[in-house]
Amino acid sequence: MIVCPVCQHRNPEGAKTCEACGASLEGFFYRACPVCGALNPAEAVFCRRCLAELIPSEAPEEPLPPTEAEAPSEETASTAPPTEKEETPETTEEEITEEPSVEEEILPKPEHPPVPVPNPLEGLEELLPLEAAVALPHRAEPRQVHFPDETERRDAELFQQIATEPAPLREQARVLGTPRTRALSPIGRLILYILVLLIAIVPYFSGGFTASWITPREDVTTLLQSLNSLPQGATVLLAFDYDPAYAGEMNPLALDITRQLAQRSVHIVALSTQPAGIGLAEQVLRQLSDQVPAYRYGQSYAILGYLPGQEAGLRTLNSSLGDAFKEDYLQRRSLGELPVTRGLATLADFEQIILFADDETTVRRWIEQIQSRNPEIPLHALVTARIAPMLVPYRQSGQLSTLLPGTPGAIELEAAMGRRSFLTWTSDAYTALFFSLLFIAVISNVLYLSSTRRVR
Amino acid sequence: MLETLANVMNALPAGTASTIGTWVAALLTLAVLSFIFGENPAFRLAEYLFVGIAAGYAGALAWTQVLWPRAKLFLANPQAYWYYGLFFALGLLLLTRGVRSLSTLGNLPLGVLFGTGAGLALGGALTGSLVPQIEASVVSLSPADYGQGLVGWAYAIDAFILLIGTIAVLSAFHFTGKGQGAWSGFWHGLLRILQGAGRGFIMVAFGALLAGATLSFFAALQSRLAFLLRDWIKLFGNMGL
Repeated sequence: MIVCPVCQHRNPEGAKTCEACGASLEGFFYRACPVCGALNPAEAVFCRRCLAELIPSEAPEEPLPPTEAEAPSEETASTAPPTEKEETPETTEEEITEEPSVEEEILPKPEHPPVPVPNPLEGLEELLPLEAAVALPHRAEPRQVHFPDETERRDAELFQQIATEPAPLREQARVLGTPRTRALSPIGRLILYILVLLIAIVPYFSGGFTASWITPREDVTTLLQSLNSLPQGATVLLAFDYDPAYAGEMNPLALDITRQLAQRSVHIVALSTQPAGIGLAEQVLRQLSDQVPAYRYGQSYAILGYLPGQEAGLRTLNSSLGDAFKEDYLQRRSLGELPVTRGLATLADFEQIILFADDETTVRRWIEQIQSRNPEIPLHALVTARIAPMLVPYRQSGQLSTLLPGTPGAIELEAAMGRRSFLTWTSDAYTALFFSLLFIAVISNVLYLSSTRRVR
Repeated sequence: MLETLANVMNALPAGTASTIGTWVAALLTLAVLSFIFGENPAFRLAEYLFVGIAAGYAGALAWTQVLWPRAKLFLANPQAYWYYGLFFALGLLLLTRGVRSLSTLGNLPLGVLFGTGAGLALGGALTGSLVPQIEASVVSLSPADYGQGLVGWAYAIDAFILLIGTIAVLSAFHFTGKGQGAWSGFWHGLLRILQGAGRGFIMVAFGALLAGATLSFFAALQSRLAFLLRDWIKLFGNMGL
């Protein structure tokens, strides 16, 4: 038996289309339970209502008559429009009445007699007229299939036309298309790279002709005065908080500062809040030790190591140096064993703090956690040129004693100290870069503006 | 193993380790610079090496510098350094984040970490950034407070630009529509002018940041070129080339 999914008409096995409404019956098949009569899917083994075993009937089922709701009464049969089945002239009223009843169809004859199930309402038919509805399985009312008439079809077409029609443009509205990308061609990019490379090697041929133009800024002279005012044997804390990617910019500056401190016999204690920074501290201080042999590890300088924990680490450093570092980085000795760190308990024992950093957040962390609690200790920030503009407010508020940007700061510091090295010569490259970028920016903007005007 | 490697390096002729280091550094520098010609295997190799070495170095440093010295203290005297044991236990709980059935145990150390960090950062931001920066924004506009003559006027103009810049940039982030009332048109017009000026100040700040970044990266390039042209090429001279 196949129940039509559209009109619920029961069709015989093997039917491809519904006898009542003509809907396709491909893939629809139900198996009736021999005990309770419930309809189950074709693949079911047990009834989903009473869990009785479903036994497939071997005998082919007879075609079903229409249900009560579908079967026209004698009165309505004459007035109702004829169905496809009724349109056939051979079909008579006797044939319809001879077809098996609905109950016979739902309860096919099994091979074995079904287990009798006691009807809880047996014997109460007279009292309860709804017994049949309760005892028999529920069947949905056949759904009325409605086909739209001409007016409804026209309305639907009109709605679809309005819904899919693009919105009319307002007056003077601009249609925005995909913006045209103006990327530089690979050849143009290569030319630009080569130009930058040529600028970078300018100092090897120029001989430092712009060195005389260098005028140290106010912060450079302030820092130099501050370092020169330190008494012999004073201790300065150096934080190497930069990445190896910026070593080319920061190492010369760090070397200049440490050399100045070493010449004045000021002790250096170094640390880093970045893992890679501690290796850079070791590199710079070893180089210093090579240049100034009297400046020896443990006696004149020490590397404490890596300080983890960010804010919490700095707060620990603020309260107790011994809690922050149990032993030094190179010799693995406790801080009390090294002459340079013996007697250092808190940050208050340092004369100054010099911070080398490549990250604005790191500098802000030092200001917020250290400087705000120790305003009497000068904090100098020697940072990459990339982040220097972001720290100007802290310099103007006085929270930073000095603020120097990487390579320009180192060049000006050497000029202020009266030293001349290859670093001073690199000012030629920076000057050439400045003028080249200015030229490229002006030419690019002129070309862009002229092309825009042509498009308009 | 590290000691064996160190012994092998010490047994080599003087300067060999330095020469090997210079060659490796030069080849890796050239590999990175090869990005000029686009993405290629040499650049990828150098990139992966840097990331891997940085991670390994950080891990080794955390063990030798942070964990092991404190573990030694705790093992030698647990009664005196019991708090290190507590922190190690919290650290071990953090490892349970990798096991789905036990991951809730990791919430405790995470809560301690984030709670402590957020508390310290908030307190520091208030006392170290917000209040001092607001105080620094309150400046005198009188030239007499800064000195005599043109110097005083220069500082006063600087303070005026600072004041206008602060208000204008704050106005640039004030998004509102035109209100009702007699004064709404005036205030709205004033806000529009300030917003335009604020965007100008922001553009100038972005320009300064871009210039600073260009300078930083050019310095990095120059240092690597200096290494190649001086330290690396010197090795060819030593080899008699």
